[in-house]
Amino acid sequence: MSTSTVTNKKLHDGSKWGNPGPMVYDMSKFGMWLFLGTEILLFAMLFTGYAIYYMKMPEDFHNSAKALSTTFGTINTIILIFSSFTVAWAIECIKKNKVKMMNILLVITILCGVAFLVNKYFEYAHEVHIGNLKLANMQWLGGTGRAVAESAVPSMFFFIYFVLTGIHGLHIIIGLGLLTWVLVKGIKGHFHSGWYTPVEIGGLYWHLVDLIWIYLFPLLYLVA
Amino acid sequence: MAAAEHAHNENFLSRKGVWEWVRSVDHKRIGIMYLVAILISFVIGGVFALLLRTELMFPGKDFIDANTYNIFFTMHGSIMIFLFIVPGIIASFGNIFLPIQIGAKDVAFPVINRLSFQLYVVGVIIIGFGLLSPADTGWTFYTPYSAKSGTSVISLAAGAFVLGFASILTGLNFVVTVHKMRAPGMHWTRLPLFVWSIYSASLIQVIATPVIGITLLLLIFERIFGVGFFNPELGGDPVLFQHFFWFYSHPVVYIMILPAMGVVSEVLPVFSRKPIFGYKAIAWSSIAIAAVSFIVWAHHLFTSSLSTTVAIAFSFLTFLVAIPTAIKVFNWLATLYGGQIDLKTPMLYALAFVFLFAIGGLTGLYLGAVGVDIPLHDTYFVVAHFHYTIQGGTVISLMGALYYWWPKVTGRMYNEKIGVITFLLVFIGFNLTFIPQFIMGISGMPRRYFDYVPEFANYHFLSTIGAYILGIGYVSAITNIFASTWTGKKCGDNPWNANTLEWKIPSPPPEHNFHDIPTVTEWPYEYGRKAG
Ligand SMILES: [Cu+2]
Repeated sequence: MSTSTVTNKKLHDGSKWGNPGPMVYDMSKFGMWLFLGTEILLFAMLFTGYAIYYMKMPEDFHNSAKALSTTFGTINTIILIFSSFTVAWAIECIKKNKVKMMNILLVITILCGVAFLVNKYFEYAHEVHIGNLKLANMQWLGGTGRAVAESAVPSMFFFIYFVLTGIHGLHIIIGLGLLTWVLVKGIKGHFHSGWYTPVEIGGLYWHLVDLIWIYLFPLLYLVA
Repeated sequence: MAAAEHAHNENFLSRKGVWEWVRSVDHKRIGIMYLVAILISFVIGGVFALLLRTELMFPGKDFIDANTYNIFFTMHGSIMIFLFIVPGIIASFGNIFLPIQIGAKDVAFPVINRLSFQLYVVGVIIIGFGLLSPADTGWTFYTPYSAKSGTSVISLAAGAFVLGFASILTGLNFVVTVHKMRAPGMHWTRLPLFVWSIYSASLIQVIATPVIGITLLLLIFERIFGVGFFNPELGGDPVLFQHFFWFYSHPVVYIMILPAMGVVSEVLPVFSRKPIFGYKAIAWSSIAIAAVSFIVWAHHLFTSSLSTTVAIAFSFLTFLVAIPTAIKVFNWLATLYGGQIDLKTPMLYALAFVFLFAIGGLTGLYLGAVGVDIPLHDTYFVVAHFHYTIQGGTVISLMGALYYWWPKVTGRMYNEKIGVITFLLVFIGFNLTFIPQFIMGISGMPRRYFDYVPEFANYHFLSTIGAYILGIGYVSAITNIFASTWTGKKCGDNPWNANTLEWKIPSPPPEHNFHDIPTVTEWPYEYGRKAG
């Protein structure tokens, strides 16, 4: 590894909590994979719910899904696949000590994530406008029982759409936070070819978020 | 190494002050904070139990009305489950001793370990907010009632959600720690059985907890946004909630009980001076229990719209759990056979565990059989069965762990005489509380009822007396052990003459556990065969 570029600073050797760098890398990756496992299980339950209700009311799913804009969905799918590519490239860059290129690619990835959310916002606004989504009956602490039926969303498909995309959106936000943290460290020059565990961990998480969307897209947009 | 130099005279408790505790990432300190937190929760949950028992002492309304009664049993259940027994032995003694037992200086991710405890505190605070208008759904949150109840179901569910996160982080940390941080020579076949059990339970935590997370989130969405996932008025299915809920909540009982079995597997060989019998069988049965636990959940739904075929299938799957469990019990008995049994307090608790848990497990078979479960469902038989397994199992084992390991944590010995007397109070109180509940259950007394017919009056009266004795027993037993921290005699590094690694370092343990990481050359159960 070339240390000539950063001579005035002591390079982070990756050791943490008294463990050597390679061990930290190993443990962090293992831990992240386990965590991704829990995330997949979390979505698996929602997919199970989807499957059960799809079998119960296929017409509802077909008809309701028509109301979704495939264009919006397709654009978002392309954005996320592209961002998965840029984050993977960023990891390759840091392995070759190209810090600047890594930072640029991380910025592009983050911008993609933001673009996804903006797009999603317009989509939600559209659905609310035509009445498929109603954020009715805010009820926090206490309060009395409420009449759900007349005010809430009329279709099971839209419940599931709302819950799945909402929780996925939350994951995008968490992923963005993670990547921003990595970027800040990257700009500060923490990473080099001998220590890039956080970049890889952040990248892994971002891949998962993308992967889940790849499943959501056909289930929600193409089911019509 | 600078740390190693002063490790000789400095132990992990040397640095004083609240801030030192709050900012610490030391697994031992985090474990102790968890231990104190869960024991406080245990006492609060216990007070609710005693209030319930007091109301039930005589037929009719005595001092609280039916609605308050609903709130109290919800508080009792939620506090005991979410705040006390799920973190339980894993987060407390698992944290303190798992890294030491495998010869590591800490867990894999110390900061995440601290985050786990911080999330626990946040969860407690969120649940605390709910006390403004306490929930009355029971700890099971069954829909559709939980979607409609006018009480603060949201904060209880949100709190449990956050606690679930804390639980995942602990489990994840332990799995990685056991895989990656074992000392040289600490092969899987040399791992202490406590580590095996914590490892299995951690796997369940990692796999099952996301499911309850999403279920509670859906319930919260249902209340906030009017989403109708479980609401029949909107085409949803309330039984789906029960499936989701029990898909987590059945495995979670093994998160509670596996570490308890681990404690017993440590204590029995030490106090009978014999190698543990059937090491591999006990280790693998932990993994087997973890695996089987995921395919039995529907035995909680025998009375809610399962087809006969499915019900019978789940009934047989449930019986499967009995096999690895029985393997453990027989191996424990074989360990005792021919040993020089030393009836110190930890051993008394371990023996009580085997006895009480066997009753709990066997009555579980009654409930797992479809035909028998239909009449017994939702009666006091279920209440008694559950308390025999979880209180007679996990709580008794936690008490044993306290008496076994606290002298290691502080380096001071508790008062043995008080230890034995308080144990007897707990043991007698426990059986007096729950044996009448078995009888009432068989005779048809439904659970969660505020009032009852006069036929049950004597049983309820006895059960309440038992609960008072039990309460006094627990409080005095816990006081005895914690008092030893200040008043106990110094007891050296290894008062029990035990072989696992934690007994080979000073008491209290040094800040980084080991001066030099040890090299392990044998399993830890060579009792009796060699001198010592
Ligand atoms: Cu069960």
